[in-house]
Amino acid sequence: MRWMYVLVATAVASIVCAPASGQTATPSASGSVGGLTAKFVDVKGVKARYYEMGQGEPMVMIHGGSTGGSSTANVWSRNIPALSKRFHVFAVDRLGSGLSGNPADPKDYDTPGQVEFIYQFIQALKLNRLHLVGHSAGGAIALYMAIQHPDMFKTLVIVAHGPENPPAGNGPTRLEPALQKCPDQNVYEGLKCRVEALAWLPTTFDAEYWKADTYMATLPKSKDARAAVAARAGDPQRAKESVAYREQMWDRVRRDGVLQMPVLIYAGKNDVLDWTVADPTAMLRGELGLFDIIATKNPRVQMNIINQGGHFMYREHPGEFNRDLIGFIDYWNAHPAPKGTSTTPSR
Amino acid sequence: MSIFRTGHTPTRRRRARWLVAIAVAIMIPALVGLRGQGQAPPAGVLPTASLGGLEAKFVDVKGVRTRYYEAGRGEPMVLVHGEGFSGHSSANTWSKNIPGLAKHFHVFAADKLASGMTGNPLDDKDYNIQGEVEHMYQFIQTMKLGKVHLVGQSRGGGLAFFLSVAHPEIVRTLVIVDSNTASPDTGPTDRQLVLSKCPKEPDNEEWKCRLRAISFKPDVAFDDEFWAAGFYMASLPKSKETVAKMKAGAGEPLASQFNEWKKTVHARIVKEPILQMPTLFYWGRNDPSAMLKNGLALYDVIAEQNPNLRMIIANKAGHFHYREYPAEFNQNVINFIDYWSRSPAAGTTPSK
Repeated sequence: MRWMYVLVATAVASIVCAPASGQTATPSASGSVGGLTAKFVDVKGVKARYYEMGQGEPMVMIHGGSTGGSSTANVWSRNIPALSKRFHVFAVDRLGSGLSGNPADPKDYDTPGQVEFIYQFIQALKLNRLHLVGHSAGGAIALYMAIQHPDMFKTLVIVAHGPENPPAGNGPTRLEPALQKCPDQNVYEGLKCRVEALAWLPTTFDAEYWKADTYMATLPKSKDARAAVAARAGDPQRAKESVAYREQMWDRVRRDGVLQMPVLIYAGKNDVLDWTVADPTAMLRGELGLFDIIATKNPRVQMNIINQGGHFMYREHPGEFNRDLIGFIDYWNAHPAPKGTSTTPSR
Repeated sequence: MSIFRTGHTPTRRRRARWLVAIAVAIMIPALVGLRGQGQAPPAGVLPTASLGGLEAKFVDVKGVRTRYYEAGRGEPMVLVHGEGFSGHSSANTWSKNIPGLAKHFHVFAADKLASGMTGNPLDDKDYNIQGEVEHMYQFIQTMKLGKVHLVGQSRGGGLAFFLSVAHPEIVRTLVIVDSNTASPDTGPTDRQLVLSKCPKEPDNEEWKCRLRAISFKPDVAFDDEFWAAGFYMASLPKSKETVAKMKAGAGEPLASQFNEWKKTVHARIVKEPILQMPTLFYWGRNDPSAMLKNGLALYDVIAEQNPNLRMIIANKAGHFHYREYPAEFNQNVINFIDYWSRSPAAGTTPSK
């Protein structure tokens, strides 16, 4: 009989809450979620949407996704409040994503342009000696920016990035069969379907998240961004350039050792993006490959593997993710590397 | 030292007499000791072979005299050292970690059965991991520790794993550090390669060479005080007896059936929700002995039914990384336990 009470209670709750949820059906003009309020700043003529919360050492968080409409700073909504108790947190929409503006030159949708935009955002807000956190494609941006401006960053956290790292060529990932059931990746429904396929637990995203996401991703500027990216896709010259860029970056890490700040690599054991169809479990070859690239010259790299965590494990286990970041940064703040370690690692 | 530097003074003879007196004073307890445990420890080694300002104690565990360290207050934590049955291997391996961990926990680090200064099994058939597990379980019972945070490295990680499977009700959290003992077979490791330069016959030099070879920073991990204490414990009659027993094939038939038995344990925990306590794997990336691939393979076995499983990989870190980077190790273990003590562990793994 207990289920009947639940049923009645749910029915009553839905009636009582109806007006409230009716209001969130029209998301705030800033696309904000989780009780947060996004702000805007001009970054070299491009409007940037960002969350700012807390006090202390600055921390910048970079979301993932590839094209306009696939992800925004809203992915960090479960992390910003807790992290802001220790840090001055900034989570920004990438160039062409969320409510940040589009670049004048479509070439800037590529990784170097994305890196430059975040770099200019950091300059515009006059942040320095900060903690940098990036997820997936945002993890790549964080990595490349830290390589290019190593002195700006106290620590680097790279989440669920590395699927394209060596050893590549282990066959299709578990994402691919899931994508075949998704609409075209050039329309929002396709991108949303992809993001849902990357989640592991049913709790990863909620209705409020999708409402705000849909609102932002279906604005004309987001459609323009997707069209511009689609028009550039498949250019062999561009593909060649991005591979060369990546290789050059990795060389600066594994050969030149430019990345000497403490680095935390955070991986979900059930991330379908690093789980080849042939393997019974995700082997995390990408993240482990990235670990080894950084480990060559940086003694202070650590990797954490989270069971029952997918590509968005920081939304699936937010309390633990926040705690792990704070623990990692606290430790290295309390144990700064001895002088001279950046050139001759003592470890 | 100053006593020897005052060579040409009238007090020299008096000093010499003093030295004789001191020597005699040292000899008396040493001779008494010979009747009990064996020879007295050499200079610089405490009678309990304790390290790092700690002082080991002894307790009777079902008839087996067991040496252990105890420090701190709070929830009980039991540290289990690695290596096989040998006087060389002991709880001394945790000497750099006990003080830091004791700030948060009531830490106990016991010498395993027939290791360090802990006695040999009463029955020769117990020279196997099952015997070691039972002894450590009885140690926890004897000390009335209740539910513990269990941390084991190398063979001690295997011990902690099998103990947790056998008695999950007494394990609050489980930490496995660089252990191949509990892992599924994933082919050869680099162990033989790095040990090829070491002596083959088990003795002091073989032990020292082996531990250094599987370290990443051997000079940081171990010092002369550590070696001297191990040499001393291995020189005790009971340790010599251990060597003889091992040579005579004690521990059979279970010892040689270990791999088959391990497979049955794996099969059980893959199917049944037995091992569900928050579990942390903590691995050194540069360990040639318990390699990362071994850890990842065991991770998959436990992950099947345990949603509360995590792994930390440390860089430039060998088999004894908790001695190479003790502060970092302690902090990560404390953070892990602290998180799970505030957050309820998930039950059976949800499936997508």
